[in-house]
Order: sequence, then C-alpha cells, then structure tokens
Amino acid sequence: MKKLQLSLLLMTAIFSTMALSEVAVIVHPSNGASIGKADISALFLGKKKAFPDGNSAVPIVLNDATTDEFNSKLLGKSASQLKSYWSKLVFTGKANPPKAVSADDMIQLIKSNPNMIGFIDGSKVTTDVKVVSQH
Amino acid sequence: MKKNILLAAIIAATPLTSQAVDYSVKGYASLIGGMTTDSRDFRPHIKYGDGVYDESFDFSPESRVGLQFTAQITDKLSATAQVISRGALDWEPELPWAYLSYQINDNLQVKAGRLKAPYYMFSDYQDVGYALPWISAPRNAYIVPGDYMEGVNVTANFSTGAIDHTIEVFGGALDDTRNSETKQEIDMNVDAVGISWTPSYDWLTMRFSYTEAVTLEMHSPDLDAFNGGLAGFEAAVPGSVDPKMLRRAATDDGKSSFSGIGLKADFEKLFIIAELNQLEWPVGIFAHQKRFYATAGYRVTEKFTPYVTFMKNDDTPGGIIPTGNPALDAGLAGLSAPSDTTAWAIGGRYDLMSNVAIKAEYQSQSSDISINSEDVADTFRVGVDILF
Repeated sequence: MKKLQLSLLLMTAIFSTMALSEVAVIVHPSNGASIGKADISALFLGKKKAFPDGNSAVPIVLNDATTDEFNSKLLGKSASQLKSYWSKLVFTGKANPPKAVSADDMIQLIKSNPNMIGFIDGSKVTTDVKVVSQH
Repeated sequence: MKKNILLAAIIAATPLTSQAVDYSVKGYASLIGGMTTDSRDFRPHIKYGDGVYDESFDFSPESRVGLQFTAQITDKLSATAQVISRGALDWEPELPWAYLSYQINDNLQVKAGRLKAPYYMFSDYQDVGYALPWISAPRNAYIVPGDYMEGVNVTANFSTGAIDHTIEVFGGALDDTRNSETKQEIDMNVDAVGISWTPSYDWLTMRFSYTEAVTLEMHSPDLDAFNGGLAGFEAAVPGSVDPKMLRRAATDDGKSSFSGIGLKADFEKLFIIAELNQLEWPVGIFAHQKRFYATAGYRVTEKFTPYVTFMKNDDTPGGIIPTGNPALDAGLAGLSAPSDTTAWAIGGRYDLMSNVAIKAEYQSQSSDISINSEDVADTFRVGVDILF
C-alpha cells in the first residue's frame, strides 16, 4: 500500500514537472564556451570531458524528476537505457555517472564552479547562473 | 594463489591516506535458471566447466553476483577491485578486475593490474547481465578459453568530425582457466598482446579487435597424457608420427590468435548486433574456430524488448596427420573436431524497474557433422538481472 502511494506520488511529481516547465541547462556566468545540444549530450554521457573551448567540464545532475525529463529530452534515453549505459562504463572503470544533487545545491555548485555544467527546472533559474539553453 | 590476489586487491583498494578519498561500492547480480529440452547437456560458458544445464531445471550454471569497490584516490588516480561469485564455481569468489587506473588527460587512460582481456564487443561487461539485451552473449562466438589477465591496458578516446573513436592497446599474462569440455584446470603460461578499435557514429558502432598469444604454453592432465602418448608411440614405432604432428600437439610452444569484427546498429526501436569472431591456432591441433551471430531486437515499448538471434559456426579442422594408432588418431580427431552448428534463439527482456530486468530465451541448435551435445543441445532459460 505504501509502495502504491509512493509510486502514485512519484508519477504525479513526474507528470506535473513535465506539464509545467522546461529544463534549463546552466553553467557559471564566466563560462564563455558556445555549448550546443550535441556537446551537452556528450558531456552528460561521459563521452567528452571538456567544453568546446577546451576547459575541463564536470557535469552534475538533479536528484529529482527533472533529471528524467533532461534524460529523455537531451540524451534521448529512458531511465533503464541510461542505467544500462552507465553500468557498462562503471563496471569497466571507463567512466562514472555525474553526481546527483538537490535543486538548491545545483545553483550553489554552478555559481561557484566555472567548470561545472548542470540543469534545473526553468522556474528555479536565478541570476547567479548562466542559462545555456532551454528545452 | 587466488587468496593472495584477493588480499592484494583489498590492499590496493585501500587508500594510502584516509582523507579526501571518495569510495564507492556498486554491484550486480543475475539469477538465471535453465534446462535443456532434449535431454542433452549444454555448457553455457567456455570457461566454467562445472556449469552445465541438463534436463532438470537448475539455477547454478550461470547465476552470479558481482561487487565492485572503487577508491578515487586523487582526481586522476583510482583503485578498483571487482569480485564475482558464480554458481558454476560453487560461489567461490573470483577476481576478474583489480587495478590502478590513471587518467593521463581527458583522452587517455592507463590501467594496470588484473584486467579482463577485451576480445569481444561485450567482453568488458559480459557478466553484467543488466547491460546485455540477452541472458548471455551468444556462447558460440565467445570462444577464447582464458581472459583473466595480469597486465596493462591503455585506452584512448578521441573524435574525428562526427565519429567517436576508442582505441585500446593491452598486454599481459593470462591466468589459469578451467576447460568447459573436460572440466580440467588448464595451467596456462600465455603472454598476449592485443588492440581494439571502436569507431562510432550516431546510430552505428563498429569494433575491430586482434589479439595474439606471443608465448603459449598449456598443460592439463588430458593434454599432457595425449602428448606423452604421441611421443611414446613415436619412440616405439619410429617414423609413425609425422614430426609436424609432434610439434603441433606439443602444448609448450604454441601460437594462437583471435580476431573479431563487431557491429551495433541502433535505429531507436530496431537494433541489430552482429559479431564475427575467429580463434586460430597456426601451430597446434585444435580446430580453427570461425563463429558468427546476428541479433535483431525491437523495443516494442520502453520496457519490452524481444529479439531473435541467428548463430553459425564454420570451423576448419586443425592440421591432423594420422599416426596409424587408432587410439591416438581418435584423440587427435577429437581435439581438432570442427563445429558446423547452425542455431537460432528467440528471447526477450522486460524492464521491471529501473534497476531490474527479467529475461527469457529459447535456443535451438543443429549440426550436420557433430553429435557433441555442445553443438546440438536445445536450451530454455529465464533470468533476473539486478543492479545495486
């Protein structure tokens, strides 16, 4: 019963996020690199470790449902596909998935680290970070 | 010996300083049950002789659990150990991976220690059932008897235009293994070097791999007895055994090479996977194995992915020159027996949760020349793959 309630809650959360908002990809305000959708996808899939301007990049993701939206819109992968993708890299020591943080920590981390790239629900963007693109 | 390696791995995974080291423990498990549907025996893996499906449903041949410990020592240096326990080996832990990894720059990584030789397209995560579309990678094409190695692997990642490349160069000494057909421990002294190149473009990934055993020495009770028999017969009846035959049957001056071509094509819903793998023995009596499979899968929904697989073996016999001694000639023929098996399989994967997948597969084999149950057995298997 508890599980049912929890999954209902989760589904409501997912659907409400999907219905209401966009995902904003964000970086430090000083980051001047021109970052396209293909670059974002490559960075968050561990295929590239640097921004197009050569500075090293550290992607971080959210520990809420916005991440699922990001994954399907920008990476084109479902949660299972992405889990499978990362397990291949993790168990062979090739790469580790991005760390997951809360929405509050996301803003804090991005505004204080010029090398980080993350994303957030469009409604939570502040002037402390630079929006690369909205999806 | 095995225990010492395990201890070394634990020490290797223990950081030198206690502060600022980032640990992680991750794991996977596969519970797989199966049986043959024609009262024959089937060994689902080239390496684990004790894991055999027969006509009674059994969970032990392929079920396994793996745990990986990683310590990120600095942002460039990490230590990793992976322990696997398999039902086929009475759950006695094995250590396929225990290595230090150094990220030289964004494109170049060096690993040293105990590693798995990356022969095939799915070598690296062959045991991580969750990452595979099937219950297991097609057995007919995964043919090299030894793949645990003490050595070095250098991996380079780079792009040319829209094509991403991965090049791996590796070398090391292969570990002892247990032959699946005879169940005997094979004492190996094999040094191998290899290279693989994996270009990928959007929907298409190719993989080319080549490995050569530069020294190859193998001993098992059966092989040694057989070689003793050949030498003994030549001593008793001089001139009966062709000198080439004596040299080929000798297992302390062997040569062997593996080459593989792999393809993955992913069209969102439809995907195709194919591999052509060859194991050759330029000196030696074993059959040259040429093995092919192709899988086509279709993502019917986000969770349900059925597939069909076609498999074909096209071996050529090892170079046998008869000795005139019936027992020895039968032994030679057995050791060099080729397989011409044609097989197909139908199966599917259902993603129950984001870290749990259930699978089922039926495989049917036939052969015109072989009665070896490995080549003709039909099997049915079901499984659950978990990541944790």
